[in-house]
Amino acid sequence: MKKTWTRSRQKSVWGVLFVLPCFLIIFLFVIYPLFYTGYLSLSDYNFIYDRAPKFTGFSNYAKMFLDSDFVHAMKTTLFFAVFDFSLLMVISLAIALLLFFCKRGTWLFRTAVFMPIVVPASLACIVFSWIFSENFGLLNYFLGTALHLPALARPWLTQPGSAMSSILVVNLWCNIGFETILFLSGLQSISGDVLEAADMDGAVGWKKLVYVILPNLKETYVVAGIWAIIAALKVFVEPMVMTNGGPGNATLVLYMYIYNNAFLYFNMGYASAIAFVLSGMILFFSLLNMKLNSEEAER
Amino acid sequence: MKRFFCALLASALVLSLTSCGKTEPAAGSQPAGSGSGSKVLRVGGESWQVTKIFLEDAAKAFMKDHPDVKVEIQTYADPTVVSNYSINWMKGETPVDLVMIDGASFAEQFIGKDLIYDFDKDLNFFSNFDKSKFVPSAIEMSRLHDKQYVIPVISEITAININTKMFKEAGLVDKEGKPLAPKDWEEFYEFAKKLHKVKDGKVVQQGATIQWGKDIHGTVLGVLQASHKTLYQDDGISVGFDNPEFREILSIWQKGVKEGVFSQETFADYDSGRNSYKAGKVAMLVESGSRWIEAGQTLGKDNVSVLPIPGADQNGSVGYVNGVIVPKCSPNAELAVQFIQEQLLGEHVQTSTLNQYGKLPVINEYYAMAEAPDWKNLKNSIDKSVTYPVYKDLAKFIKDLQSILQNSLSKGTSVDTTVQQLQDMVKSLNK
Repeated sequence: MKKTWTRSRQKSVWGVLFVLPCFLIIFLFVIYPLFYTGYLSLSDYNFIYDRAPKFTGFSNYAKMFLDSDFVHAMKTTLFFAVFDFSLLMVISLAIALLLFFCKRGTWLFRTAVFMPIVVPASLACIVFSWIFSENFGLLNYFLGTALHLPALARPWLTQPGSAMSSILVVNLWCNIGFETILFLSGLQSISGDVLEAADMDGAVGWKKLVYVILPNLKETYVVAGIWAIIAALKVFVEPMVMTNGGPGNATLVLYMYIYNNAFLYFNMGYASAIAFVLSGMILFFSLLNMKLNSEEAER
Repeated sequence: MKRFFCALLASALVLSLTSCGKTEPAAGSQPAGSGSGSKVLRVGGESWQVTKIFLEDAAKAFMKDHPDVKVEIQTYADPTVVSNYSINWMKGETPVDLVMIDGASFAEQFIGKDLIYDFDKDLNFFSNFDKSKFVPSAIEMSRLHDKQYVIPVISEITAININTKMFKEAGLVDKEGKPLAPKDWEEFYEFAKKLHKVKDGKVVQQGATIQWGKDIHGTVLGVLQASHKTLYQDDGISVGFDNPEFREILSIWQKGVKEGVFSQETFADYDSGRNSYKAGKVAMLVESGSRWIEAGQTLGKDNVSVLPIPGADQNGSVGYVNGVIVPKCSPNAELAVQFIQEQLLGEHVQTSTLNQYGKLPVINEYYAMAEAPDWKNLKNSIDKSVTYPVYKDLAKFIKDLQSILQNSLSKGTSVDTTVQQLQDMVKSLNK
């Protein structure tokens, strides 16, 4: 008994030693910054002018909701997120279904769909900025000269409405590939027996899709949904590179507002508080997504 | 044996965490392959500064004159890297001995924690370099809190970069064939209308592009100074937008944008105006008065020129400098001063940057070595130019100014509302 206990304890010690480096990394780069940011969010701290943070309680959180720029950024982010999430999920699922059912040339279509994943987002945004350029961009040239529809050509990035749409398009282009992978793997994990049984029962075409395939993707909806929520609420690269939050503040999103407060104005305390609010929103919607899908599964 | 290897592996994994960072060589240490007793001067600059301020040439010339010194140019990608230096400097370490900064106000972030030298009091810079050699506005622009924390190396002012060929085609020249300078903003708008060309619903020649992107403060404050003779309200501290001149200018800008005569492309892309100008698509570009020299390389030197913005000849404009700072923890401060005096403020750097890139020298005598005579058009503007307000919340001022003005121009918000928003914004700032 004593010998077994000693051997078991030895194994535990070795296990701890091997896990220790990973734990240290997580502690240093995740847990400690999380708690320190939490402390900063309860403090007044300008990195340039203050020697140390000054604890002020929840004043940063209270100030936030009286800040018109924060409220505007919040509204812009939520507006963007609703459209981005919906379109991302629907389009990715549609493409995944096409790839799943397509028998020929799938390698070509898969490559085309997955290619945006390997392109850095900032690089894609620079290229799209040129494409969307008002006077010299490819899009307006195509609409005006090739299709002879000059009325459709517009200043895509310098008008408030079209600027947001342009950012949405680029964000979808960047993220659809990954979401499609998630849905495709979900589709491929559906048991062949289930699909065969559906065929034998006469569930074909649309009925098979709605009553057999889509219900079997519940777990995939959770994972894909969480990822889409994060991508939608944490949008940053596109407005930063393509419009710098403009025209005016039409595309100023929450993540950009955090960046401005932290790295342009050096208000670390306030920026930390906004970061926690954004994290809270992401957590809330992710949990909501999980709950809705688990309730459906239980039914 | 198995246990021994397991222990070895675990130790290696733990130790690998401690060797993650790169160790910088100690300041002043001997670089490999150099002679004994040699010093290393580390100069930091953005990539564009290394090119346009000829830092590599300056380094080579300095090393030739001082064989016991090695000058290392360290290029940083963008200004946020310089902000991160403060973390090192607070610990008493520095990877650089002198740093080029874009705008004197950038040094503000280091002053609060006493991290950089006052060139005058701490380093006696002017004891062997005559202060009167400097262009007065340049030295004034680089003073912060009445101290010389920054030594200017180049300066820029807001001006109108023009395509002279387009001006001649539109008949906007005098009897000698020289382009006419618009006297006021109404005339500027009329010029832009004449210069603007549209074919099959597509703009083939833009009348005017005004910098309304992230350098909007240069444009707006330059225009304010030129039209109203001062940037400030009666308190001498708060920028004042509520005056008839600025209201009129704002109204003209809105009219120009609505008619498409003034382009909005700089809202999204700060460089778009400059790129379109260099491509020969823009007749007038209102931003830094150095763009015409760049465009001369693509359009031909005879087809480009520069004019002062309306009112700048009489009242000046707003300028800004690129300069150098020296951190207090640098062990080579004296060497850094020598490098600045001998090379950065020397003939080669000052004249080359003017003639090749259009960056204005900060030393008076080098204007006589300008290859293009067009610089005379800006002489009065340069002499009378003033600097930005040095607010603690300058970054917020710039961001909010951009936001309010772009909203005003794109949505057509009334002039009264826009001016009120600007005044309220200035009032809310930490000055």
